[in-house]
Amino acid sequence: MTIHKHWFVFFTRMTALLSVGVVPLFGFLFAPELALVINPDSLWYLLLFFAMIWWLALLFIFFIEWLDYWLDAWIITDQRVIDIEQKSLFRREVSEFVIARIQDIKIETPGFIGTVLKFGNIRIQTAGEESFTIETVPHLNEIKNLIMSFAHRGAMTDPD
Amino acid sequence: MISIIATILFALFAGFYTLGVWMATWQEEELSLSHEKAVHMNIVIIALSSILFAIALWAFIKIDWDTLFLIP
Repeated sequence: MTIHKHWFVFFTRMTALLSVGVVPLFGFLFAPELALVINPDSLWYLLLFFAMIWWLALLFIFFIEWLDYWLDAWIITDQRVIDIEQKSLFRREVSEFVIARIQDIKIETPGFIGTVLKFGNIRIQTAGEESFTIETVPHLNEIKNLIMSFAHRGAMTDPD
Repeated sequence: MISIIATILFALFAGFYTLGVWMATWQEEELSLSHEKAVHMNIVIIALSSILFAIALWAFIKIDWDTLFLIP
């Protein structure tokens, strides 16, 4: 099973990006005032040029944000949990632990929106005193139950 | 001169996005993530940025830089 962050995380980032995206429209709004100092024949092209550059930059940020959202993932198998964290475009961290070593699982719902949209964090404590946190994941209880069922199955088949 | 700068800029943009596509494809295959979604999204982004870039270049050429500012 592969899990990505909840879509709300991406949505909040995109809302911020979209609100910044309207900035060039103010240039067109103030065009009559700008026409007093800038040649009106070139003004429209100048505003268009800066708007395109602005949106190209935002598209660039969107690209990085989307890759970060999509490539941040957790893979849960019946043997282990693999946590892939995309730090930047070409930098990522992959950590994994054996499910049989799980001692404790805690789920946290971070407030009202998390409760309504059913996402939150899963904190997993392993036998080696290490803890892993899977942040802002959807279907908290289903994932917790799945990991627990794999852990029980692993504990029953483990010869030690 | 403008065409040379534009070509270099466009090559940089295209190169960066191509690297992104390659990286996403590689990682999707490596980690067996659901296939081709990142690639499709990146193709859309490349197409969109090409359009924006072309419009920016067209607007840049259309601007009369010598008489841009009105001197009272």
